[in-house]
Amino acid sequence: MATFSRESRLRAGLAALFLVVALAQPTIMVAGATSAAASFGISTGKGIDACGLMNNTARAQAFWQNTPYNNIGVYIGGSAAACPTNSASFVSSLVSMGWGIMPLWVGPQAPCTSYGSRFSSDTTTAYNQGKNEAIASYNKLVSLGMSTDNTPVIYDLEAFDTSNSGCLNAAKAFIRGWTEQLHVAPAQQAGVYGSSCASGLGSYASNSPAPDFIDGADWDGITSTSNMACISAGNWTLHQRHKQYQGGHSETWNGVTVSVDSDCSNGPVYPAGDTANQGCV
Amino acid sequence: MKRLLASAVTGLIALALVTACGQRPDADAGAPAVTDTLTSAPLDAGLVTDRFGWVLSADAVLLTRDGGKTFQKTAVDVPAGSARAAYFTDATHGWVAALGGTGIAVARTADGGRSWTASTIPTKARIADLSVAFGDAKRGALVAREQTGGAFSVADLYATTDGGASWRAGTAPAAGRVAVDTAGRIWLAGGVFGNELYSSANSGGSWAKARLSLSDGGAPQAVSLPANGVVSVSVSEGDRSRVGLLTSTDNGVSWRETGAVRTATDTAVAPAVSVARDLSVAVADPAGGRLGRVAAADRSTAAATLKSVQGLPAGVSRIGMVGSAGWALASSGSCVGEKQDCVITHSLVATTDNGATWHELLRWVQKLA
Repeated sequence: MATFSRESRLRAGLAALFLVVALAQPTIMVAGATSAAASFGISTGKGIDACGLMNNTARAQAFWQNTPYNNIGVYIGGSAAACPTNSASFVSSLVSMGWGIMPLWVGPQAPCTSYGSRFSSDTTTAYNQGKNEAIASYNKLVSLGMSTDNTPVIYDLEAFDTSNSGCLNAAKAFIRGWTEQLHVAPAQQAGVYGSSCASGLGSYASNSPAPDFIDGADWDGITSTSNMACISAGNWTLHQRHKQYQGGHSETWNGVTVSVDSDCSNGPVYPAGDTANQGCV
Repeated sequence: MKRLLASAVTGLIALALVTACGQRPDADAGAPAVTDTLTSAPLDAGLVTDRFGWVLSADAVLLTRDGGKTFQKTAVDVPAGSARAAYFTDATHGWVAALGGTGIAVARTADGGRSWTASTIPTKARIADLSVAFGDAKRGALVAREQTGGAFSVADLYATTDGGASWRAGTAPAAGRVAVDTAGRIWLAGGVFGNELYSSANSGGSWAKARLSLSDGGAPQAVSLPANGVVSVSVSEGDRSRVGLLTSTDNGVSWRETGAVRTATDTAVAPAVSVARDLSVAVADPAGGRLGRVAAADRSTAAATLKSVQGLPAGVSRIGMVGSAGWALASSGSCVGEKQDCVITHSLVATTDNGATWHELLRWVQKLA
């Protein structure tokens, strides 16, 4: 099976792409957008994501100091994001503590679901909607003061009826748009979060381009990112996987209790990775 | 294929597969002379009378009939390693709900756990967690949380009026914990942030969202289910929390803060609160070592203070008082090194002196990294 290395992604000259983007999307580029040095690293450590940690530096500190956690999922926005951060200082504080950030974008969901915000079942429209979500997520990265060069960004696509071929095709088109647009320079790394079996995650491997990495939810309690139900072992093998191995449960660290999901990584985080050996690889 | 939870072989398999990170309590862990009956982390526990109580883990149901001096594993016919919720209305009637391959398995007992009868609720949804409760021996509800990311809260509801022999599907407004009052009304506390409270008088056919009014006009961080007419909420106050105690004068349509206890640390989850039948309230501090006791007659919006107690651990998620006896279930993490040698210690502690001192009944140490 194919792998999808960062080297295979579409790249173009900065000046040419800036021109293309400026012409194609004249109203949505953020003025003053900056690009720093490559702003990611590979994490092989454990992490958490939790609405209860968003925008609360003290809680984030309690779950950093003397805990096993290296990474934190940060909801940066999207029409379905229940707990997005709008605080550049919160993001900056997380980075200062040492957290590796997994930026999550929670936009419209598959058309065959009952979620309030859904993308189109028309593949062309869904593709363009995926592009628009990517642009919006890029703008949010900038507004949060985050570097954008190769920054990983994860689209949260919840479970849907993958036996519905029309819905699956729309999802594939949407994710193709998401991925293509994030690859426009200054390119980001396109990730997709979802149920490893029920979000069509495995089928996006055949997209062109395929997502750069996946964040698969497989709540089997097994930390290894290699062990992910419904995902071929031959796909996303080059440090291209995060795994959410346990769903919402309460944990108490340093006297602070928060409901968290548990993650294990062998993939990109912002702004730097780690060399943890915690059973994730 | 179903297996008996208490089977020794199954227990060993479950220990290896389900709780590969766990370790049994041993002398090195500093545990007192407790029973060795836990083979994975306890998920829930309840002290039903001053002598009868239960402890649930993924692969075991433990019962005590002597207040916790001894525990017996009971053979429950649900898939091994998949138990997620339990409930006892009294020392006789109990239920255990588990995730199954093709549905939700529910086992029920009417003889205090000596024998169990199983039923299955078919579902195609990918279920992540369960909550089950009964208002009496017949009327109950089960909430099945679907697997979603943290930004969503989706669940299915099932209700029974024949003690769990059959279940009828309803709707659930969110995922969370469920309760059934003596009138048969179903309560659900949950949502993305865990700060929503709903009730349904028609087995999940329709739901009403309760209005929660705090004394400072703020919003709760998390809310608990009603217990003996009291709803408790967590309210963040910076580096500590206030546990607001809310009561209703309109049959649960709205709830107003009529008392409070301030904790020493912050918490983002529903507070561990016990409301006894005499309406006295016990609140465990998330940081451990302190307990707030509020007598019904003393409840006021002026926050009561916590008092130091012996042996109450950090991270109490459940607390229940029956007279002067009580149980608390707690879990808290710690690391020896920087990002390494980390464990979560789960413990069940008990008191027989109205919460002044607590002693450990069970412990499970879960290795993380």
